[in-house]
Amino acid sequence: MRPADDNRAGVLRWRMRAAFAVAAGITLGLFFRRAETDAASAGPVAASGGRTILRVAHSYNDPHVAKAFAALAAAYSRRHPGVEVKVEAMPLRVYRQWIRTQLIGGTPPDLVEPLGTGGVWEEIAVQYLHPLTAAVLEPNPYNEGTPLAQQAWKQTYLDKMAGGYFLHLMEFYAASLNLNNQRIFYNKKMFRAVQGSDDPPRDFRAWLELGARLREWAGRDGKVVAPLAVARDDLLSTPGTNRTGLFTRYFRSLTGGMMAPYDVQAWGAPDPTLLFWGLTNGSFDLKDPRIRAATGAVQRIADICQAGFSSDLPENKRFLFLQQKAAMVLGDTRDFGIYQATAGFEVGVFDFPQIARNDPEWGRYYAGPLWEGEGCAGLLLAIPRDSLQRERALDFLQFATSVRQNAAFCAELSWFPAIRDAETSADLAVFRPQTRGTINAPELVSPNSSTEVYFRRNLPLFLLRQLPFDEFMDGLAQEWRARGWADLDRMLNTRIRGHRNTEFNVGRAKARLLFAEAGNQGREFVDHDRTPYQLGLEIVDLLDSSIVRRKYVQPNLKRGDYRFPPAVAGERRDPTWP
Amino acid sequence: MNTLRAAWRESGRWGMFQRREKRRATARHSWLLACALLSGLPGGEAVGHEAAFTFRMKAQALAEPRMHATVHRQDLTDAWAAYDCTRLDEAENLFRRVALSPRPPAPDLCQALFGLGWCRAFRSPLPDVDGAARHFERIVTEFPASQLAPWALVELGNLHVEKGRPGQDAGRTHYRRALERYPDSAAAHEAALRLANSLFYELTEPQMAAGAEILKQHLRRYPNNPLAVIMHFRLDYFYGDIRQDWAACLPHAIKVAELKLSDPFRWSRQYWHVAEILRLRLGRGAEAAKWYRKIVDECPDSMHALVAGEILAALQAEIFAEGGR
Repeated sequence: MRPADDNRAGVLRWRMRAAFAVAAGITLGLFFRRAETDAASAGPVAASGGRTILRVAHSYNDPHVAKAFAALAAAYSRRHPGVEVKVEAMPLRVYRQWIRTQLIGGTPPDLVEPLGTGGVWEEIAVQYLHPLTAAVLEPNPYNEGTPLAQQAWKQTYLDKMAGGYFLHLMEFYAASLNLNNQRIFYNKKMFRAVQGSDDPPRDFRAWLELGARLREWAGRDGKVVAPLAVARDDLLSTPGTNRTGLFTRYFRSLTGGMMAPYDVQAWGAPDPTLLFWGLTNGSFDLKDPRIRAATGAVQRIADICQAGFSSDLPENKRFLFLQQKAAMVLGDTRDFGIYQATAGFEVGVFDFPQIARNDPEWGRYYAGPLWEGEGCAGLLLAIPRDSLQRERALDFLQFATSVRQNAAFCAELSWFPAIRDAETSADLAVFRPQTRGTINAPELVSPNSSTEVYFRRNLPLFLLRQLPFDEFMDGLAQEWRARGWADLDRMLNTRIRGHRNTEFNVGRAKARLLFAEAGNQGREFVDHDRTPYQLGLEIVDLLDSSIVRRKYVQPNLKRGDYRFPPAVAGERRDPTWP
Repeated sequence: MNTLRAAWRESGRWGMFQRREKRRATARHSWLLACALLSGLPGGEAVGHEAAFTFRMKAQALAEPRMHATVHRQDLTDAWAAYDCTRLDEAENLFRRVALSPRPPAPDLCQALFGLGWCRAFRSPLPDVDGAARHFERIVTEFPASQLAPWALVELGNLHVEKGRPGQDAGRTHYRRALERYPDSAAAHEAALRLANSLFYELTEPQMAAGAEILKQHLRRYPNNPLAVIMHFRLDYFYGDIRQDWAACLPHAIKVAELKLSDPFRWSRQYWHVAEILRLRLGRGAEAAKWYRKIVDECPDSMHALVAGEILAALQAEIFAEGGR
C-alpha cells in the first residue's frame, strides 16, 4: 500500500470513527430525549421539585390558542402551586392519528380533544374515555361565589352540555370550552367605500344588493374583489349533514312548516322520511313554489360568491379575505381572533340577514330563522381512562369551564364562551346562538344515500345556472323514487345494528343495578329518580318505536292503505289529497 | 363440574342463601296479606290499596337490593371494570375464574354467570348466542328462587329476539315465563316491555293490539312502575302513528309529557306533540294552549319555542275574540 493510500486509509478510519462517535452521540441523545418524553407521557410525572405535570393535547395549532392555554395553565398553577399544565397542539390531520395511537397504547395525555360525539368517537369513548356523568350533575366547585355556584355543572352551560353528551352511550364524556357559530365577517373600509358607512345590511335583499354594488365598485377600478368568500362546504353541504351551512340556513327559513301535514305524530323534528312519504303518495311536489323560492334565494347568494367557490377549501376563503380580495367572508368565532390580529384592516362581523316579511319575492314564505340551539360546541376536552391523574384532570377541566376562567380564556381568543353568564365583549354578542327558529322544513335528501350523492353532484350546477330548477328537482324526485326504498331500508338496518351498542350499555347499567361489584348505580340524569338503566331502556324503545313506525307506514303507504290525517280536525280534505 | 356444584350446594353458604331468600319471600307475603286484610275493613279499601302500592314501590326498591359478592369481590370488581371498557376477553377470564373456583358462594357464582352470559352475548364480531344462553339458563334452573332468575329469563328472551324482524316466538316464551313466574319482580317490567315490543315488530294488527294490551294491563297493575313512562311512550306511538286513534293516544301522550323522558332535549318535543294532537287532530285548541305555553315557559331555547309562541298568540287572540262576541 502506498503512503498516500495509507494516509487516505487513516483519514478514512478517523472519519469513520468520528462519524461513529457522532452517530452514537445522536443515538444516546435521542435515547435520553425519548426517555424524557416517555416519562412525560406516562402520566403523573414528578418533575424537578416534585411538581405534577398535567398534559393536555388538542388540534388547534394556532399561536393565539397556545397563548390562551398558557394563561389558563398559569392561572391554574398559581392556584395549585404543585401542578404544571403542559399543553400540546398539533395539526388536525396529525392529531387524528396521534391521539388514537396514544389512547390505544395506554399512554395518553391527561386531557384530550375528542373530534366528535358519534361514529368512531363513540367507539373510542366507550373504550378509552372516562365518563363525566357523575361530575356534571354536581356543581362546579370553581363557580363558588358566583350565581352559578349551586347549579349542576351541566346547567352552567348555554347548551346544557349537549356538545359533550354521547347519546347512544348515555354518558357525558366531554366538556366544551366555547361555542362555534357561523357569521359573516366584513371589511369595514370596503363597506364605507361602497355605501358610505360600515353598517351591516339590514335584511337579506339589502345584503344581495350590497354584494352587487361591491362587485360593480371593484370592477370600476379593475380590481378583482369578490363580494363574499365561502368554502365549498359552506354552500354545498347538504341539509342534515351541515345544519348551519348557508343552503340549510335559508332553505329552512323559507320552507319551515311545509312538512307539518306529513308529521303524523307531530314531533316537529327534521326527518327525510316524511318527504319520501309525500312523494310516494304523490301529494308532495319538489317543484312547490316555496322550494323554488328557497333554492332561488341560495342561488342569489352564489351570485355574489368568488369565482370557483364550488371547489375552494376554508384556507382559500380566508386568504381571499385577508388579501382584501373579498369584502365579506363566512367564518365562525375561531376566525374572529385571527382576523382581528392579522387582517391589517378594520374587520366587522354581522349575523345572517333575515328575509323581510314585506320582501316582494320571499317575504310571504319566510317562516323564521334557523334554530342554532344544539350542535355548536367548540373545543371539547375529555379525560382518558388511562390517565393516571384523572381527578386532577377533572379538576383542571372544571377550573377551565368555571364562569370566570371561561370568560378570560374566550376573551383572550375572542371566542364565544360555552358557560352562561361568562362575560363577552359587545363584538362577540353577535355569535350568541339563535334559539328562536323554524321547524318542519323538508329534508331534501337522506344522509349518506344516493339522494345525497345526486344532490351534492348537481347543486353546484344549479347554483352556477347550468342546470334549471325543474330539471334539478325532477332528477331528485327520480332518485328518491328509484332508490328511496332501498336507502331507507339501509338506514333502518343501520339503526337496528346500532341497537347492539345501546343494548350493551343497558347491560352495563343493569349490572350496576344488580351487583355491587359492578360499580355505582349512577346518579339520576334529570330531577327524577331515573337510573342509567331506565335511560338505556328509554333509548332502546325510542329506537324501536321509530323503526316499527317506518316499517309499518312505508309498505302500507305504498299499497295505499295508509292515509295522512287532515291538517285540522273536522276539516274536509282537498279532493286531490290522497 | 357436577361434583363441584354438589359440593357447594351442600355447603352452609348455599343453605344460608336459600334461607335468606325464603325469609324475604315470607316477609313479602305477610305484608301483602296484611294489606289485603286492611282493605277488607270498612273504609280500609283505600288504606289497603295505598299500603299495597307503597309496599310495591318499596318492594321494587328494597326487596331486591344489589347483590354483594362474599368471597370473590376483587375478581368480580376487576371483571366488571374490564367489561365496562369492552375488554370482554379479560372480563370473561375473570368471571370464569370465579365460576370455576372451588365452592363459589351462590351470589358470587350467579354474578359470574351473568357476566359470562353478557360477555358471550356481546362478543365481537358475532355474538355467541348459545354460549350466552347456557349461562343464563344455569341461573334459571339452578337458582329459581334467586332474585336473578327473572332477570336471567329476560336476558334469555333478549338473546332469542332478533331486532327488527317478525316471528320472535322463541324470545317471547322467555318473557312470558318471567311474567308468569315472577310477576312481582322488578324484572317483570322489562319483560312486559320487551314482550310488547316484539309483538309490535310483527306489524300485523292482532299481534300489535296484543302488544298494546300487555302494556295497558301492566300499567293498570303497576301504574308507577320504573318503566311506566316508556310504556306510555310506546302506547302513544301505537295509537298515534299506527292506529291514528287520537283520543286513545292522548292520555298516554299527556302521561309522557308529565312524567317526562330522561333526556331534557325531548321535553319540548313531547309538549309540542300533545299540543298539536289537541289542536289539529282533536280540534281542542283552547286545551292545546296550555301545552304551547309550557314550551314557551319551560323550554324557551328549544326548536319549538318560536312557532309555539306564534300559535299561542293566535289561539289567545281567537279565544279573546270569541269572548268579545
